[in-house]
Amino acid sequence: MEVDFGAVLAQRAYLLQGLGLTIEISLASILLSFVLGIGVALCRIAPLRPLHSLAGLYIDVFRNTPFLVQLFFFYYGLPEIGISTNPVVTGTLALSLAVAAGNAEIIRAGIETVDAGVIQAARSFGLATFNVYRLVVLPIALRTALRPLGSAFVNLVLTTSVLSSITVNDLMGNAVNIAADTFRPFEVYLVLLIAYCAMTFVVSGCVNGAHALLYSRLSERPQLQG
Amino acid sequence: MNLYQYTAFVPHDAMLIWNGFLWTFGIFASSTVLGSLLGFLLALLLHARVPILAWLVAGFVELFRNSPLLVQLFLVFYGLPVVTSFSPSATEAAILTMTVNTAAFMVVIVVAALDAVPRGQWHAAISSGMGYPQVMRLVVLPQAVRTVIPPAIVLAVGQLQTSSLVSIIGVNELARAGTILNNRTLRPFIVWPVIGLIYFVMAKLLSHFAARVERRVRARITWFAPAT
Amino acid sequence: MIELKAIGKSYGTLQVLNDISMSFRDGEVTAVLGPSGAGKSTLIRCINCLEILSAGDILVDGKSVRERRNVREIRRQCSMVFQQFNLYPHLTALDNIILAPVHVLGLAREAARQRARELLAMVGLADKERRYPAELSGGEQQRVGICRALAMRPRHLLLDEVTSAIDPEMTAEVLRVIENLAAQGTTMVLVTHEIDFARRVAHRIAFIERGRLIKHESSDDFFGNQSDERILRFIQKMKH
Repeated sequence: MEVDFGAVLAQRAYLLQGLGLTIEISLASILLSFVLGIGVALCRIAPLRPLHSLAGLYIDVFRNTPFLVQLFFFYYGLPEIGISTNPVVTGTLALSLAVAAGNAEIIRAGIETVDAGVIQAARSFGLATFNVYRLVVLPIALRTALRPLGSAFVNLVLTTSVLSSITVNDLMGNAVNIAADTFRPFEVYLVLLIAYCAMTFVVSGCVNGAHALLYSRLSERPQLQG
Repeated sequence: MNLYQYTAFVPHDAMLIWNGFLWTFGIFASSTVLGSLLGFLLALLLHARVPILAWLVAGFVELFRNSPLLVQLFLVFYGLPVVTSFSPSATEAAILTMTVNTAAFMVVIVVAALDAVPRGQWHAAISSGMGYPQVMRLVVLPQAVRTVIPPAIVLAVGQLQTSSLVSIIGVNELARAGTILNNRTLRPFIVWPVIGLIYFVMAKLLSHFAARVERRVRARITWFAPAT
Repeated sequence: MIELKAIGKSYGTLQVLNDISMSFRDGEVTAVLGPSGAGKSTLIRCINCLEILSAGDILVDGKSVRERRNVREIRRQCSMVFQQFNLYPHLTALDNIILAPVHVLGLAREAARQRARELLAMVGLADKERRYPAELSGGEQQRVGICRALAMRPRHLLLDEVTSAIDPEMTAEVLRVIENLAAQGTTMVLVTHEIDFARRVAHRIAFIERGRLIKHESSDDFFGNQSDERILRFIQKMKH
């Protein structure tokens, strides 16, 4: 059989629908995992042993087990304890939890590179610890963490495809249906390959833009005598 | 008919899991080794700026790094048999796709390691008359090895987790064993933590083993100046 | 007034400060001199609780540094200028200066900005308020650091080798600012290597060597009437 994209293009509305859901899930997960990541990172550096250990355990477990296993655990397990939600919500939650673990490590690394002298300066003026973190440490740490976080978010977008295995009608889910209907899996999945590449390109572009914006005047430039 | 008999765990399930583990390990190990080799070779093509081929490699890398493994899997397993005469079995498709996927990520790691070797090394070697292959073999690669290992370990651990996706096209590995057990016993709170634990232990063992190898490599490379 | 009562500080087996007692009176400028590693920086960092004393006590305006509840108040009254500047890299010069006044003193933002602009003008950096630290030279950064400290209207100013990390051409501008402050009657404890400057600006000199206070006397006595051999040699060495 020769390659024929016609059948696939005829279904583009359906594909775009799936794309829409993918984007929604991605945005929601990016936001959730970002906030959660900051929280867990702060727990990781907290002087309280239980917080410290719990956060460490969470990170260790979620980074060393497959996302698919985590997803199935939540999808099949949650109804057993009485929490019944639709696959989209479950999927978004599972995804956020998984990515947040990685984010926490990235953000923690960012926090650790903040110049100790700068933190001391803030403390020396009497700033409360909460404010030291809110106004000085986190703004600097997050700037450092921006690129690695961007990488993690690109990965997140790609991982949304796994949600199709729990009946989510995202881009991948719909593509599977189209492939079954049109008997043209090659064309469908090739289109998908390119579609996901385009999505990651957009996410990377946003990250680069944010990086340029935040760093345009903060990075060391050759100094003229001033 | 006593339904409960069907939904309980049986001793044979241990065999199912053990089998799954072996297959996961096999698929992971083979695809990682092959993928690393392939990635290394492609990285050389890219780094040496071989005309046309370098661009193809670059394009290939971008395509396979920026798309989901699942889509790649489906493309190979469901898509190729329809437009070509190539009809891989699920396992073959799994190993092939993971190899290619791993290779794409390895290319980036290797190129970064090569770039990390100071330009001065090239200049020194070339000005003494050595050709590209010699420079690579004798000067650059030995220095690049040290930089390659840590990110390669991270990639490997990641690919171990990602290999679970091949269960979706029916490969009888560990995650699939979990699916089978889960669907039969309907006990997700036992099945998935157990499966997850096995992956966890595998990942930890891999990390520790790899770290030991890295330490041995470092110990042998005593002449290396600390990287900034 | 800042009173040091038999203070000691050790890191493990290393004794950095050993049984030092002295006072810094209000309105006085004291220069703390001594060889590198003598413990001078550690001494002033104990005053604003950046370091914790191993022995003895420091009373800042009557408040003990050993009591946790005093720390915030002590830090409000003692502002520090650092050797490495330690400006907040993600904030403009102006924002660097107003951060503490707004969030510690509770000043209104606009009022804090006003004061910050006055201070920047005083040090000759009025046109640099929107610059980030990375865009400023070492001397400029340190002057911003001084403004940042002054914005808190502290009773005592602690200066920790503030010219050591600056190129020689730029130290003059920083020293000029400090000289002006001294003339205005600000209480200052100045850890420095600039001997000539110390002589010009300080009322009293504290000489620390290997963690011990060797001499604490008026500047005139220290430089004019010095009998101690070691100190004379030290002064000679630092002049070059």
